[in-house]
Amino acid sequence: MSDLADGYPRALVSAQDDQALEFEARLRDSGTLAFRVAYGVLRHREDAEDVAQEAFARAFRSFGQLRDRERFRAWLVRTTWRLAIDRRRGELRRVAREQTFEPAAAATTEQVAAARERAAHLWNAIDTLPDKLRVVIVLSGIEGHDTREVGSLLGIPEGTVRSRLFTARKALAERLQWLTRRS
Amino acid sequence: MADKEVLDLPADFDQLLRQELSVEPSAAFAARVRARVTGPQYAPWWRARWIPAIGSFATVASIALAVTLPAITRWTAAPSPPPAPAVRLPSIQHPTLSPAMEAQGTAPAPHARRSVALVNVSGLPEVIVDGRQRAALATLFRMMEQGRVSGDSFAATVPVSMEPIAEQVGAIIIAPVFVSAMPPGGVLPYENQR
Repeated sequence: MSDLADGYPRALVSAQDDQALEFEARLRDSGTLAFRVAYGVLRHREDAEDVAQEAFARAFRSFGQLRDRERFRAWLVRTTWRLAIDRRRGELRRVAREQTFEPAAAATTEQVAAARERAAHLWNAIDTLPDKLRVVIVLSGIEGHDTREVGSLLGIPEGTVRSRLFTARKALAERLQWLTRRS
Repeated sequence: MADKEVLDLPADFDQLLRQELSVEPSAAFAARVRARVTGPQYAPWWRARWIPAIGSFATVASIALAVTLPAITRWTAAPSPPPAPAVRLPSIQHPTLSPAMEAQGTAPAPHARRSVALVNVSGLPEVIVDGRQRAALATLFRMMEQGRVSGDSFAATVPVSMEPIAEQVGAIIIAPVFVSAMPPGGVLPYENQR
């Protein structure tokens, strides 16, 4: 516990509060996951970090009911996704984000520019999916989650995850067909 | 990640998606989360600063209201006429005349006093008088003590004033009034003589 206490806020560890230490462990364990979920929606680092921090802050407030690791991760992913969707709906932020997302062609090589263009088309296609399909695609692309883990995070059966993943990939393939043919 | 039978999407897109989502948060991410959860926004509600502020304000307001409300009520109430200075004389014992005074009708009793009891224990009906009536009664009793007014003379005056006055008043005769005619010029003869 002494190594955990180094550098941590006094309010969290001064009283050797087990709950605070557990929250600290969850922060280390799931911080990147929350950030990537937010990034999968926003594609903007600062916005994604802000949303993930907000999700952790809300989780801390309700940590008494979220001490189980799996339950905490599932709650965190759903909350982060919801917060990111709400953030994305802000039209001004969306415009600013799209402007920063445009690749700087002069600063990259031709290959990197082509990869960025493909990524932009991929994200645009993902954005057109319904929420329930989009979250499955994003979560399955994070940390190599399989369908069981995605089902656990979303609180839905594994078969439902497979079905939604199939539908989502099929829709993406149709929308990106012209890009595949060109390449 | 994905099942084999649903790989309609080209494999390079899967790889691209994984690469896109392999981003890492900044080094300050965890520190910012800690700073945010320890901030006042996420503190328990009873630690909020507005709770003691509102409590203090409510206490002060209650005290001020309790102090000023009676004064405001008195100030805004309709003015009422001042009460009459009534004096209660619960029991008045009329001065009793001594036997010698009764025989002579003049000598006052040396220690004949009126007694005024604060509590009506005599069973006699109470009389409520105002200040002027009280002064008049006091004067009457003092004159009776001094012998200037005797019980007989006082009692003799009462029936007279209560008898009908019709028997004491005779017939009233109104003499006729003659008015002479006004002479021409409007001057009476005796006015010319002056």
